[in-house]
Amino acid sequence: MLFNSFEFLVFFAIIFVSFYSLSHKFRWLLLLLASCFFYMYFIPEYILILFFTILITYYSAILIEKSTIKKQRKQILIISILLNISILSYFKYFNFLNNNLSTFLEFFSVENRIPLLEIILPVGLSFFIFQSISYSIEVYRGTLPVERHLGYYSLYVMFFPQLVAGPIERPQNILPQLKKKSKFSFTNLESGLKLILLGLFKKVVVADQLSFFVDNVYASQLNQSPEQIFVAAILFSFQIYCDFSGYSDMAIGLAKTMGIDLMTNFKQPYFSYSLTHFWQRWHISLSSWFKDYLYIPLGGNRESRFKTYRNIFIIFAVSGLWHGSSWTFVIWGLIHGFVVTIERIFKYNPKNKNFFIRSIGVFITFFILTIAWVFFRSSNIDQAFNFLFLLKNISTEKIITLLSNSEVFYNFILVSLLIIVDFFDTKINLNNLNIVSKTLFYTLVLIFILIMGSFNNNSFIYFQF
Amino acid sequence: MTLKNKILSFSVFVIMIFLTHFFTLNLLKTTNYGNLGNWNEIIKGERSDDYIFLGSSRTTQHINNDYIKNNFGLESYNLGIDGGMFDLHLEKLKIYLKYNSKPTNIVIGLDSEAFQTKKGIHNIHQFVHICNQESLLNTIQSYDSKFFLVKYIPLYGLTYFDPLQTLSLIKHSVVPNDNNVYKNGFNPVYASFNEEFERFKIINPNGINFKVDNNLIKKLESIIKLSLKNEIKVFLVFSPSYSEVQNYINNRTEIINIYESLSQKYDIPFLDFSDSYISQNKKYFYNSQHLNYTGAKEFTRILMTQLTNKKR
Repeated sequence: MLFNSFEFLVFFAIIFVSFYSLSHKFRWLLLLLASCFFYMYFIPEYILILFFTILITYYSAILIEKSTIKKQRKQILIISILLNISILSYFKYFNFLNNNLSTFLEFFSVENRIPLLEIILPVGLSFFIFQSISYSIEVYRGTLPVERHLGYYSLYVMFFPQLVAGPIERPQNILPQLKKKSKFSFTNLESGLKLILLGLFKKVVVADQLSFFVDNVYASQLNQSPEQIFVAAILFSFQIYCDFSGYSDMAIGLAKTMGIDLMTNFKQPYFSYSLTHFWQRWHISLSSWFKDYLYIPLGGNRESRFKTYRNIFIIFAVSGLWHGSSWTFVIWGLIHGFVVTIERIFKYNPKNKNFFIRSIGVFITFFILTIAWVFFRSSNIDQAFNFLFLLKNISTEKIITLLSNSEVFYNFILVSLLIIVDFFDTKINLNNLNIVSKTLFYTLVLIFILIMGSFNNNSFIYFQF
Repeated sequence: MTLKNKILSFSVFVIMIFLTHFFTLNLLKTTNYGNLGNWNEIIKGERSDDYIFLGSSRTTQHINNDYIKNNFGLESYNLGIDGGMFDLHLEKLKIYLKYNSKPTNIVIGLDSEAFQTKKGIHNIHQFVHICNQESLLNTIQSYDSKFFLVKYIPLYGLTYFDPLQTLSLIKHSVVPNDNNVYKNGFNPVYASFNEEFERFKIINPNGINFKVDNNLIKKLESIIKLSLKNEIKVFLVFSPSYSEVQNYINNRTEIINIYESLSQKYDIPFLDFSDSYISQNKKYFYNSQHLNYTGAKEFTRILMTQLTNKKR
């Protein structure tokens, strides 16, 4: 069930009304059942994977807490993580590894007899696996008491607004909120609806519209002009941002209406003046996950310079692989790792520089990000390199001609609108407006979304991860 | 928030939604823009035609109705629906007959893929403002089960519109542009032969098969029966498709045989232009299945010459 579908609107309306109609002690059950229904709407039987993950981490956490022997605690944690990673590997990386094995064996003229699996990746697998792992680690570290109520723990993993595409939550943030008795509040409803509208705008007005042009260019590898590739590369940078942050905004907004605060996942990332800065503002729940559970345990920046750079590369390579089982994602991650390392070596940080220097930083960062997104979006490495190679033949004159095409022109109007909305998002304070003006404003935004949105039930890009 | 404010806030929301809904509906029902205008003209009920043409985009783009009027002195209307199938054509014919005088002749445009069921309806937005036509609504429902909500939820119909079309419609309502109007239903395409066919050949080197759905054959029969019942003379017409593409449709003979058998069954003429000189020449087409403006004019000329001769 997609947030941008009519089915979800009906589903959420029922859950919202039921949530506040029910007594607090039954709310967890309502949300859990709703989350099961929400997930089963995609592929029903895959709920079993989710249950399996929940049971592994739930019981391993209890065992970790019970055990007083440090070594034993560590062993249970490792088993729990390995079981989770095994599920992830089977569904996400088996065919990737098998294909690479075939290529490797071909080198020695040996045939790989292991067949490829015909499997559909469970929606949101990487998200809920990471969320489950974070719980086990926190219990192991002793920073979180074990959750003995299976219902609440299941809800922590399955809470439907963030189940399939994050934000990847931390148990310390969510579990206490799920247990806290919350009363209906107009402030929460208003804040939530504002975020839902913002997310809908990003998804159906911007991302889905840009996808027509971008998908068309990436789908047909023949006959694409360098100018079309250039425009598609820029538009994809905005498409993926709107698609993903739109989902996050809606997820945070939906949770907010029920009195639950999810973590911020995006902070105007394309206003970043360096890649290091970008990763403090893009998919924050994932980057902080990697920082807390991989980068720091690897030694972070506490050891030698070389080890710090090595750790950065590991984080970004793994981050690439987290996104998808393809070398294009690994290269995407390594480009980020390389640039972040360079920034670290040269201590590049224009934070305290003047507006002009920072603006140049924003421009250069966006350029690098766009190049990296070409790898992310391409179906294979060849396509990515072909596209980038073709860009050397670009003609300014032809770009201008292309921009005069009504579809492309409209796409750039949307991008400009997005930049304006993003820029003013945190600066606009509607609290001073009276209730009539506020309602009028939000209704007009809703009407604008209905008129200018593409409601083709387009899925979210990050669902595949 | 006080109760007064809650009521005030809710009222503002409801009033805004309903105002926008009625404004939008009014715009859709009065526009002459594209296929929306086409439906509006039919429902207006002022048509009195010698010929009506039914079919898919191979009708909307192939029959130049102004040319018919100027050169043959006959009134005609093009009821083609881009991407439409016989079930939708039947509904459009019913609506035409409900509101307008009976035409003398009906020309049913045929396709190789006319019997293949599609998953959805192309340009479904064109039906939003006419969703009160029950029989049509039932047909659309068979493709999109949620479409009936358009009737009951204000502004829900807007979700069926493509934003670029919406912008173009709004622009047209402010600054009307003749290029956006289907004159008597004709939607000409001013373009030369594009690369689609070359791509098609690469993807389908061994050609393709169009599935035949018996339900759609029945719908075609219903169109014929309804026309004959209303004493309208019926012609089945397979307009030109580019000659080379014909070799790529593996079950073409099977499909043509269906048309021939229906022609015999109901004793109605079947005119097949697959081998006409138009089909041999790329200059008349903008893709393998569709004639451009030049091709449409030429085809209309030879078609109407034959039809008027046949009548005599």
